[in-house]
Amino acid sequence: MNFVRSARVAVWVGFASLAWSAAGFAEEGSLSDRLPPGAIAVAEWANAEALIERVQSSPMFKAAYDSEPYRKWAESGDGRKFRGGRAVLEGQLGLNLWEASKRVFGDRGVLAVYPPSEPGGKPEGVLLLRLADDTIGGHLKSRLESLVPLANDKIKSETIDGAWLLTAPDGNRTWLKDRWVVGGTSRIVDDVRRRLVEPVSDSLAKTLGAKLPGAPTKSDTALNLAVDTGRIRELLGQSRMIPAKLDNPLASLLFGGLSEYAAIGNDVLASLQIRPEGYELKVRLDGDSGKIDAAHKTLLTSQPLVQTELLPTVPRRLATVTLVRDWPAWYRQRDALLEAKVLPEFDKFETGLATFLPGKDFSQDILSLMSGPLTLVFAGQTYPHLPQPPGLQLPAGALVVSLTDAQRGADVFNLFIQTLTSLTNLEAAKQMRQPWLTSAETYKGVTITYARYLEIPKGQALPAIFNAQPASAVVGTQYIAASSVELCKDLIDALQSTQKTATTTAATVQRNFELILAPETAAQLVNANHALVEARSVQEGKSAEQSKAERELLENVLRAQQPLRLSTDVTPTGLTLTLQGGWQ
Amino acid sequence: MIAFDAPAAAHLLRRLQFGVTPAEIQRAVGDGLEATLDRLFTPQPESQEFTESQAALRDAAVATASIQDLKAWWLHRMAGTANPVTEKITLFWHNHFATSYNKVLSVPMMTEQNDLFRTLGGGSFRQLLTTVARDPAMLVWLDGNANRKRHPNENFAREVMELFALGLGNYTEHDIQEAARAFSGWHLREGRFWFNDSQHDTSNKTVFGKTGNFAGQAIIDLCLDHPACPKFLAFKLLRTFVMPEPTTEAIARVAAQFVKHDLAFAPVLKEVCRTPEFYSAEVRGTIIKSPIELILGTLRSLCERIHWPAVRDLAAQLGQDVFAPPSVKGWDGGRQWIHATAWIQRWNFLSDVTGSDRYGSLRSDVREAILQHPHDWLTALFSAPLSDIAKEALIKAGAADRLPLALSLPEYQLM
Repeated sequence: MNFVRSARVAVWVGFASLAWSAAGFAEEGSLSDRLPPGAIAVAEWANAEALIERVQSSPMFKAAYDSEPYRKWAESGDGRKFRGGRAVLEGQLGLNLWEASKRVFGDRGVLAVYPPSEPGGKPEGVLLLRLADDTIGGHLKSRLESLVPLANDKIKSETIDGAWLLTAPDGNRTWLKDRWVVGGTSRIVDDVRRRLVEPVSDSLAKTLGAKLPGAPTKSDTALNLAVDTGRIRELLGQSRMIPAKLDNPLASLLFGGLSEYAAIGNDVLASLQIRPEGYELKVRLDGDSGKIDAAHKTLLTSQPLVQTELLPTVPRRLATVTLVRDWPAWYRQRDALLEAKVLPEFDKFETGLATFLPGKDFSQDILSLMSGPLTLVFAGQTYPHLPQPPGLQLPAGALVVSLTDAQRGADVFNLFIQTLTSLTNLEAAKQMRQPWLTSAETYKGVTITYARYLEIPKGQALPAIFNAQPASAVVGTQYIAASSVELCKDLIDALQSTQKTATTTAATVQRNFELILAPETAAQLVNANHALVEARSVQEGKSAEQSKAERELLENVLRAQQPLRLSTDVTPTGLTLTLQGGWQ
Repeated sequence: MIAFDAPAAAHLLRRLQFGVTPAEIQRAVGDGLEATLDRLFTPQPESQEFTESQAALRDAAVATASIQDLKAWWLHRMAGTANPVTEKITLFWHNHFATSYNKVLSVPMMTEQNDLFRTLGGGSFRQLLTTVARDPAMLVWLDGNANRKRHPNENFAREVMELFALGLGNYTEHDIQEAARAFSGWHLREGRFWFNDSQHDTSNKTVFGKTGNFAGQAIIDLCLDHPACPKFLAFKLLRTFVMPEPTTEAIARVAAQFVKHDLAFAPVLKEVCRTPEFYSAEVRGTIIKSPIELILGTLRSLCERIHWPAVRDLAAQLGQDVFAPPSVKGWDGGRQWIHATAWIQRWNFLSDVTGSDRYGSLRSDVREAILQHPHDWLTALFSAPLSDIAKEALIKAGAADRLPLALSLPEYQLM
């Protein structure tokens, strides 16, 4: 990893060179065909200008720029240094940084990292930019040329074939004509220069560049990345780059399969597409599934996806997390997945669980009841059963698990909930809170067992505990344990619709993990709890007015976000991670 | 005749609010004693900023049902209100009727009791004690529901006599036992006071030598009419607002005022503040600041953007955790505030005020103002004249050192 981390490309923003050719920009394919082969990583982008413009004109960006935290940072020492440096640079360039960024980086570019040319050396990097127009280079040269003498002759400035060439004592070199080349060594910069004039057959585009997952498009902003992880491991002399055992059980459960493919796979290929309607990042981890050990295979099981999501959405959804795992096998093989120092925590967990499920073994009696997906759902509440919402409005949460034996599984899980309710009632009695009574009702043919309050206090703000009204139900082989009857019913609707669809639709992919976040619901929750959110700011010494402004900013930022979706799909040759989202 | 000069005005304000600034002293001197007292004891309109901020904090406490949030609300209120005397009196009664959340376990009940002290605290003690006796938090705190006809619980009866109305030596154990029977059936139901007549002992009781079929209210009235009651209240008032060890003469004078005003608290306090004795050298600088007075007085005078959770935690560390007094006796106060650990923590706090933003930000004008108007600030910060050596050291200290040096003096711990 140090090898990769130490890879660097010296970007000499302050010392660009120029000699101008009148040649226009002929349409060309991948810029990687102008780079030499042999790179261990390559990233290529196109149409960054559209992205920069979008960020610049985004209401969210403007709101953040006007926010109190930004103003506070801008007034701090670091903020003043940044603003001063920016003013100096913009004055020297005669352009603001937004404009300069668009014209220098806004068209197309490719960055490649090569292995060290000598054993024990540092990796070499090279950056090739196609400038956005034919005047920016001349402009930069005219504004920056006068700075070169300030380096006390340590930087060598030359004009060769109409291009401005700068060479630093440590070998870093930059060359600018209608393209801009920046490299860690003179050799690699000169090699690229030659290839710009006379393309040769053995280019990066035909080796690692050929694996880049997408071709640049004319309208969308795109970034493509390919990393030859197999070659990096070979150079490092290591069989894997990420340890097989992680020290965080949750991270292992969520991303253990992903990290295993990254550790032993051959390539990491990524593409980022940014369009007006949103962005999509796809990361493909290619590797030989036969090399995955049995323990990690428990994290790489999958479920056929018949709709766009494993579990259809529920009203007011805040978040959904679905994990498809071989639960009993995963638990039994945790010693092979986790570092020894975290394993005693599992023993403590099992001991604690015995309070709720006496005489049951977690692995043999509980996890063996589960198969396939486990979903956590969070959603906003409307409190139809209460005269007014609680003073603190919390999202409802629910767990949905697939059962191997629906009746047996429901009995065990309901035993857990009943014991929990009894213990909660004992605690409620101590604190003079209302106890729960167990009730049942039928909804769309499904029996919901739930807890209701004996009485609901009138004429006062309801405590936060009134957010909870535990409920459970079984739909087919799916067991629902929800913190509210409302969410339980919504999940029954969702699961019944899934069952109908499953019989008529073919699966598209094999899904292993799914996370969906809905910022709009988060904004609604912030609004519903605005007094509380503002009070937290007041407690920290801010005025009521300032606290309100910050809360509104938070809401606006959340509302500007589109739902975020993160998923992993299992393929015959590896794993694909997809991130989708967007902002206004 | 009282010479109401700057030191006298500073003394008055220091005792009736939390900390004092040179501007407040200047205003009081300009207005004169009577006008200042009238202003302090007359409800003043709150600023919009304060009204909104305290509403946000109170709403948050109710919404979360968190006692920590309620503590932050009250501390913010004490420091920011335009009616500091009301908050000082509220704090006085919170200590007098010391009730702790640690047993009550209900934020709404603690809030209701705090509001009760604020609303009734300056008025008649008759009404206050009568209301407190039925207050839900008090009923939980002193086990009202355990007081039953055949098993009387003496907790409330004992505290009414010992801690609330009379003081030790003014009743007998037999009086308590009989009074407990009178309070039997004073229960809590659905969070409200409820007279459970099936558990009330209706037989005759003999209290203070009088016999009758007394109910709870009759016992309260007997206590309020007891000659020890005004003396007890006078002692508590003097010890909190005037001198740590009230003299017999002072107690007698103030007790007479209580009788004159039918046990109304604020009018008596106001009378006390117009007596020459209140401004005498023997009284000034004799009270050790409580943690709340030290913290809020310092922050209110010197700082802005106060971090209330940190302030709340500090007050608890220094021994004055509001809504959680250590026992039914409340905080002992006086020298008990200054033990070895607390002394270091107090000094650390004062050091943080000038050296960090942990509890709030030092107002940008303070350091300069102390340099420009040192005597005004010395009057505001210190209740008694400083020694010549200390005064000279302070005057000679530079801009950065003067305030930390002033706050580090032992005299700053007094008011």
